[in-house]
Amino acid sequence: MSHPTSISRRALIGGAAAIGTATLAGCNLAKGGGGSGSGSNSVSLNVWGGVPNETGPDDLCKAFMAEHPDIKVTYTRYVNDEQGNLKLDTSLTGGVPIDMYFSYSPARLSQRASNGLAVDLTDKITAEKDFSQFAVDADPLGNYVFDGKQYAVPAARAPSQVYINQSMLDEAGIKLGDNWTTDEFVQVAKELTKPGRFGSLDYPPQARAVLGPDYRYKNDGKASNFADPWFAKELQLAQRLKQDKVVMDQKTIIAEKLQTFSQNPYIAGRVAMLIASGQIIRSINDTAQYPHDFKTFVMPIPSPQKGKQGWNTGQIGDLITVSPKSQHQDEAWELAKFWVRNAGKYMTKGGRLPTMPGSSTEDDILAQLLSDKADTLYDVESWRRFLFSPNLKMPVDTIFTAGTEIDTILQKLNDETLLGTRSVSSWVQQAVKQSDAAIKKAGAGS
Amino acid sequence: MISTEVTGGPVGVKTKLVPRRRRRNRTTYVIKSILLWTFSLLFLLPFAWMVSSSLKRNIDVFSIPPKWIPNPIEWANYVEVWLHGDPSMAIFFSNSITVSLIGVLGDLTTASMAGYAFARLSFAGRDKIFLLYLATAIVPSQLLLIPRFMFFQQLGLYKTLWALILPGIFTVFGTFLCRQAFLSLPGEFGEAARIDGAGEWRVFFNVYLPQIRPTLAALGIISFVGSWNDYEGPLIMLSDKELFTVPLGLTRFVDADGGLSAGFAMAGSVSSVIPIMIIFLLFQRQFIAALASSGLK
Amino acid sequence: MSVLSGRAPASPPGTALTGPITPALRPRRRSRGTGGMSTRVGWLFILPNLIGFLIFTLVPLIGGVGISFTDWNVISGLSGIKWVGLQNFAELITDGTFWAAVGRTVIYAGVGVPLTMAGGLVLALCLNGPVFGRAVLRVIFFIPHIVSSIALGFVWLILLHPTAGLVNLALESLGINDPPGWLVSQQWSLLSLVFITSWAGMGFHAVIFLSAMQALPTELYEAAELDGAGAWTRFTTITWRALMPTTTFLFIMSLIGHSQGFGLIAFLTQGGPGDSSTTLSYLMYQTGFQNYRFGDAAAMGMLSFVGVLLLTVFFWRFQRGRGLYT
Repeated sequence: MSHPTSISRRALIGGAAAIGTATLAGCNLAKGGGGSGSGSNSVSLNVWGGVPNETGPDDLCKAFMAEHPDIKVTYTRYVNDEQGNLKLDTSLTGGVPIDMYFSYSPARLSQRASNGLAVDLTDKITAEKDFSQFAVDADPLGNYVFDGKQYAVPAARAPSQVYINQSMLDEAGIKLGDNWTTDEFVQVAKELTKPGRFGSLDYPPQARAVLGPDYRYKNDGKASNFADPWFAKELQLAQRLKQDKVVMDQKTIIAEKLQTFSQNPYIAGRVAMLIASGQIIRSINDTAQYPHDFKTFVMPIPSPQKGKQGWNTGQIGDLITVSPKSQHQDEAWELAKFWVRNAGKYMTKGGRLPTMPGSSTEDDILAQLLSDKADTLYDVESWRRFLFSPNLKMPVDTIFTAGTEIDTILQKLNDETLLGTRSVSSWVQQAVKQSDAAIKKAGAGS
Repeated sequence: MISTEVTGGPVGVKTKLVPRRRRRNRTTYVIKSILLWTFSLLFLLPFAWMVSSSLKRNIDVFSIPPKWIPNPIEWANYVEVWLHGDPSMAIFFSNSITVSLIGVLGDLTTASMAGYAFARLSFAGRDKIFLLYLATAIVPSQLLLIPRFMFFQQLGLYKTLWALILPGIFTVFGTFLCRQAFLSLPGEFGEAARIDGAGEWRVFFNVYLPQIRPTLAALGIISFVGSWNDYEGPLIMLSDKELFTVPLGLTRFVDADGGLSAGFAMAGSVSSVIPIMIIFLLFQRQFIAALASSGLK
Repeated sequence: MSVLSGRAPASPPGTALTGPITPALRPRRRSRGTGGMSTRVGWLFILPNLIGFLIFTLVPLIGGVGISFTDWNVISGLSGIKWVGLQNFAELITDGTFWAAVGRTVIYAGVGVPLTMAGGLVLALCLNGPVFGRAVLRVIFFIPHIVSSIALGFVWLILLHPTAGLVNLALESLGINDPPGWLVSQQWSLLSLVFITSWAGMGFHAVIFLSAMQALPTELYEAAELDGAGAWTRFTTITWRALMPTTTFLFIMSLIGHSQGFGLIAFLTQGGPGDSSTTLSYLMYQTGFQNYRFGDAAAMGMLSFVGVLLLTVFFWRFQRGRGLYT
């Protein structure tokens, strides 16, 4: 940091806001003067995020610096895996200079916020007129709220969608509208199933789609909700579809690590449909590395209940937080706002759908997201209908007690159930028992 | 089998042994060679898969059934790895070489000295310290990750290559390996030299150290490979891209959601393995040279 | 050196087991002894390594041990550390998941360690003698140790693929109708991992064994051969006993590796399917790095430490005095 060490810590913290405004004012003056920011006055912001530098962040930071010549932004990429997040956390607590950082899951954000690693942004968000969708009282909720407070502003949303191979649809003579039920999905999957080809890689989600936010908890998070019949229904259907070989068998999914590399069987034509969030788009766009000759049609997650629009199974993401240890919290907030408002312009081509269109039109966003070969790779109209539909409801959770433990428990039980070695009723019994124990333990711990 | 390597010994006896043995040796030689080469295929596979994948398009990398011969051949993967990216692979390589070389040389020095002392010198407190060394090796390394990070930050080593180099210089593993190697040598070597009036340092450096050259070569290779391939250390300690080592640099091909551009990643991995193979082959010479010289003595 | 080769031929071949070696061994207790050596010299030799060891290993280690007595999630910073005494340990000891993982670790190490070591020893013996393309072979067997774990993992995913994998295709062609699912089967996943880990570690063991074999004084073999000792006798009387320190070393290293290794598990099975391959080290990784319960994870680490330490001490006692010169 370029600050003279003679300034006391207290003065720095106390005067941070004042200094911030002063430099901002100074920066505007400097802009008028046309000179580049002088070294001693300039503010240096350190940003940590998980998106690789060259897929958007570098351009966005450059644009920000062009507007604020006295602020120098350094974007450090951390690997968004367990060790990488651990590194971010130890760095944040250990006093490594970080002014602003990204979290990619609400559970991690919740952990960071409850341990004092995030500045309370509630009032700042309320103060911005165009951020009304992120405010505490927005309906539907467009931002995470913890005990009435907000610690981050989301720059991206990652809805899940059904990717469908249009050539296979045409071949089967199927016409799809802009919405469907679980039964219709199953019917289509069956019709698209052929020897050597599964109708779908994934079974249709139901519990999340029906129950929406906090679907895993009941009684305000004091107990788990896995006894709800929708969980059993979802798994029973999954087991049946796997038995009928309409949906890819779990053995193959595990053996080929298709939870991580799901684009391959879809683009290679081994499955007709795939349920995933936006990262598949990057592979579809990359025709050099993933050559294919069919268009991708998109459908929303099917609704389990007829006539009732279900929740999407994706989430909002790229959660921007200001570190309380930052000495430039105001500049960091400036950058955070700039990031959210300009993500459409700089981050969309990296496959990240913005929460705010900013100055970008629907067409701009579609063009960036689906690349310049959109017309040969996609049924663009289906994408427009899906992405900008008012019916697209993203569930925003508020309870995260023992979230990662429950993830682990479910992963194991799901594997066993889908491999056919555990019955659905035993799944229910164990999921409730183990999750309740984890919740109790987490509650006792805090 | 080992006998054929032996060059010393009374000439007459040796020639007497040879004719009867040679035929049998020839057959064992052929059978053994065939068996070993067949078995080696199983060990060649991962490397073959890496090389083949490094020349594939992403969609072909994980195709089932696997294609071992890429079609088309994507030389562009190597171009991407070496010429694109900021900074380029060359920077990561030079960082890795710096870390690994200083680490290996340091490790060989301190480990051979300490190992020698543990094995061949006796002094008060020796066994207790060795027990402490051994015990720390048993502690799961994951337990050390966070304390080490926090401690290094206090020391100001965090964010520098020293955070990787220094722990590599003082290893329990190296000390342990050298100690065991010195233990397998007879103590008479040193006694003879001491009677001739050699100082302790000369006994170590001139008498014992040359004897464990094969072990030093092995330690050198293993220590080099360990620090060359280390992912966790750099991941936790470094954040400045200019200082990244090769394994960390390769995370460029992992996206924020955990997906992997496998063709690029494999081209990078193949590139990073080649130096190790060269080092290994060079040290092979050392092995053989050490063997030859000890046989001639 | 002349001491050894000079005396050996005098012994009768029949007593090869103890014969040629005993005379040289007689002064061994003394040879390790003082010989007028001062404590100062010993410490001077150790010092460079010891200083670094204290700073870079011991200090963090004490920190790590300390964590096992706390309730800590890293994020809360140093001020968030809550001292809980032995509570973490008390909870673990009554935790069925923990003991199940311990059981799996016992199988994992109990089968894996001997398999890796035996494989390494056989490879080293073969590679120490004349073989076609020996130098290249040595590199090849070492490959699993140097290539990326993704490559290792994927090769085995391909080979062990339940339907398209070479292994099962071969089994099917041999008339086995329902071959195991290997990594995706709850019965076989742990054993598959044992096998893969051993395969990956064999080359490393072979290199260490080889280096030790090559450091052995060749006179011993000359002498033994002159005595008419066959290959097997030479192995048991000379090689095996001279390799005892190395074997001890590798045993301990392999034990540590098996009790700590989780990289391949994390990539290949993530402890599954179900929890059929959740070993102690993977459970510890999950508890600490995924669930952020570092106190619990550290306590597991400490218990695993005690287990391995007991085994090490046992083996140490066992091998003592069985080596050539120790």
